[in-house]
Amino acid sequence: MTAQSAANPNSPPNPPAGAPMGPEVKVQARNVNVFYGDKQALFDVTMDVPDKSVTAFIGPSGCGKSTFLRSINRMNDTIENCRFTGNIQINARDIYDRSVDPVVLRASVGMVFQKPNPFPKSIYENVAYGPRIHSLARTRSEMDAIVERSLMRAGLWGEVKDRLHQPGTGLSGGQQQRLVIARAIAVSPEIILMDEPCSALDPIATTRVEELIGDLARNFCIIIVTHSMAQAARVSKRTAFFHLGNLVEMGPTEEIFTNPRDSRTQDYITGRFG
Amino acid sequence: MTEPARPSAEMTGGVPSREANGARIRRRRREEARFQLYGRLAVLTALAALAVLVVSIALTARTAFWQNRVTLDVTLAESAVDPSGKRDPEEIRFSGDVIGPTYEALGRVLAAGGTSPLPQRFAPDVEALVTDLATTPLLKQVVADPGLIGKTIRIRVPINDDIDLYLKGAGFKAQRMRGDAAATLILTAPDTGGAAVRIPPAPPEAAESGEPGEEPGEEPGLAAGVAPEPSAITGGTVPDVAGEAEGRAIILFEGDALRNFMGQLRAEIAREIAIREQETGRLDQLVTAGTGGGTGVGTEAERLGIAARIELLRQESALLQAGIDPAASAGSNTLALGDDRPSLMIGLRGGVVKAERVSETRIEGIIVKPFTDAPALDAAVETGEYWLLTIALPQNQRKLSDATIVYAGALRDQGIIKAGFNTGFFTRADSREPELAGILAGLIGSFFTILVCMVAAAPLAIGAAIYLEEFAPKNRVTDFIEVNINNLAAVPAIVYGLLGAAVFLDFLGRRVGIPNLAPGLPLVAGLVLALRTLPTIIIASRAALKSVPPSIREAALGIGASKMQAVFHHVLPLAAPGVLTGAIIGMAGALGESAPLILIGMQAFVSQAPTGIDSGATVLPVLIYSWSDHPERAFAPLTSATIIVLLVFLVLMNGLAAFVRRRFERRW
Repeated sequence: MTAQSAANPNSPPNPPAGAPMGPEVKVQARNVNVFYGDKQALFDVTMDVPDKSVTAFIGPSGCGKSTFLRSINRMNDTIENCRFTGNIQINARDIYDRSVDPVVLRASVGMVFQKPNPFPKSIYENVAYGPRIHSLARTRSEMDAIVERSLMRAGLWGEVKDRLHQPGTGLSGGQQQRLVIARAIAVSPEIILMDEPCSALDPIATTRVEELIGDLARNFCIIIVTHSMAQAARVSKRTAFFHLGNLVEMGPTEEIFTNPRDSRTQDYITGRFG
Repeated sequence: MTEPARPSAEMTGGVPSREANGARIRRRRREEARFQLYGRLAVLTALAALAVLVVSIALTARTAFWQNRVTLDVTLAESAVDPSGKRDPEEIRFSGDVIGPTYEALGRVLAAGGTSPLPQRFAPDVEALVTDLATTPLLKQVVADPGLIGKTIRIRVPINDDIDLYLKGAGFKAQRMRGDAAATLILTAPDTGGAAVRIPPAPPEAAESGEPGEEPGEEPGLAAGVAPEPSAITGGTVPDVAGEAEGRAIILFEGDALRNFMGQLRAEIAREIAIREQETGRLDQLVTAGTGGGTGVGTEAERLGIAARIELLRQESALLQAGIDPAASAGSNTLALGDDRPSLMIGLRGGVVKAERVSETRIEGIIVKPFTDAPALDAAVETGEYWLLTIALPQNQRKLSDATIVYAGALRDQGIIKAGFNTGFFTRADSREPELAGILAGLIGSFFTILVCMVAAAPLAIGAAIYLEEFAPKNRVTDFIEVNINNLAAVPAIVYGLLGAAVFLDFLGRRVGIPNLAPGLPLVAGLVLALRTLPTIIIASRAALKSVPPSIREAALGIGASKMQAVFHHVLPLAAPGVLTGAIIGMAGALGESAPLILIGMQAFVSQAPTGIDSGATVLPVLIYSWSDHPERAFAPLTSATIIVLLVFLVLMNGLAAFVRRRFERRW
């Protein structure tokens, strides 16, 4: 119901792509280049992502939007042959600094994937796993509280509260995706990265997840990669368009969709390629 | 069924014609049908091979699971067991004689109720029933408790393997039938010819069973024994069944009761004559050709040799001819039955007579087992019920004497020899006597070996698999390692045996001097098999780890789990069924391995069950190998039975693997 807020017409005037946005900037990327082996996947990407709002990455397949997303929580580190140059700061701290443990980083930068990937364990265990490995709960009741709160914020509590100990894999696709979101927010991240979270869902489940995203944006910095321009328009406040590894332009969603500055953006959103 | 884009030739011609399409579809269907047929044939071939294997092993093994045993009351005479009377356990252990009293008990049972004792000359035939090794437990019992000396103890021991096989109907055939022609018995003094007297009339003969060598009347059972020169088994301690020289008897039949037997005997002799005449003719020709200056025989010496051979053959023929010539045998049609002829025995009045001279209506022979109801010498009496036992295989071509066969049959008829489940097969270690041999040493040895193998191989292999699959960088070095692990899995097992012998036995055991690395120990065998199994488990575990979807790893990493946490909390549990399956299959392979273990000394003769991983042992497959090579015929069923035991274990392990896979496999 609140998803419409994403396409808020009252958003502040757009700064130029990559320009600093002041104190509410959460993620600050400068000259990010990513290579898979010899192939360069991202070229000099520079951008600022605001806190407590939804930012959408759009662009044709293979344009580098997912690669950039995965640079933000250093998931690319787990890929063989992947090389990174440049600088990404979260809360003004360089996350590629030697002193940063990617494992700790990922606890504060949660991630939701394209295909729902709950652990083949109970619903409760799915949500409790993160808090447990990060020792966020000292007692059983604290853990219960975290699980309940997370499921509530993911809008799943009402549906699963009577079957917390049944396997998470037994839920429907949309429920699984919300369970995965609950799992991500259970460790109290600051940023949630979503890589095409609705592409494996039916329209009704998609709507529910989009609503959820809108709700979560009040508390988290959310970055969503999507193939659906309608979705980007519905949920995001700002949109970035990637093409062939370049950040073509970034700005308030409404502006990108109604008045793009770059002809490539124009072509893409009008369906001429991609 | 949409067709893929068709080649341009047809496309340019527009839509292909219906007929062309139909023909093509029909051809495609035929191809598919043919392919399915090939598949079914392949499956059937494999199943048929399996069925043949199982059936042939089961048929060979079936006799090994039961065994004939004799129950005896043995009186442990002090004079035999402890001649010095000192009751010294050590002395009894080394010089105590319990087999003597056992044979004595056997002799007593066999002569029981008889009007005369068991003939002394058949003592070796009695002793052939039980081997002295079989009484080892009795000796141990006496050593443990010398108070038993002088008492009578009931023992139950397996009978000798050859007679056991005979009683089970394996090996040569004996045919027993009830006699139905009236017959007369006359006891004669030793070595007298005995006068034949014909007495009562009766209905004519009628053999109960027609086909010799076929089921009907054929029964390995009682018989009368011939007296061979006591050669094979010479026992020093002959039971003291005191007695005069062996008795002889004549049995006269009303009518041609032995017509069949005699007919076959004459035919056999005639065949032998024919063979000699043929050979004589051939040699004659050879000589003729040689003297004629032809291509034949060369030197004078050769010619002389041939001439001598011809002479010999002619003499043999003449002798044989005399045997079946009525005129030559005092006009009585009587033939002598030597050791090289089929045996004929007749059982009557509780005793058994082995025929030495036979005609259609008359048997003259030696009393192998005394009668319980004997008439006076030279008196002609009715035989009462009697049976005839014929064994086509001549006595000099088999290990069992006629007398032994008679005694075994008699004991079985009395219920003293009884067949029962062969528990000893599972509770005894190896022995040179098949009836005393068991698989316990192999069974326990295999258990310890697999235990060592599992403890050594499983953690190492699974650890290596996890490292290689989850942590190691993918580069040339790891590629090289991967290729070589696959190579190792393909290395013949025997090479691992050589490696084990060189590393564990020679280097670590002998040079470095680690004491428990010696040939024939389950510890070494387990380590060698661990080397053999490592690649298998690594490959299976890696495949299992690889099959866990990457999304699970991402999910765990995405909420801040470390790589190790992701692997051990999520990936490994999901891969566990596959990893366990690989480990179990690897162990099953190790269980069936023999070649490398032979190289490290597991083929030793192990007569005691191993007590640990450092006590000498053998393993089931090596036991199978050893026994399959054994000259004793009775080891053949034991070999097959051991194969069955091994197969049962393998099937159980594979079943366990399948169960683990089904039960714990998670779907996502």
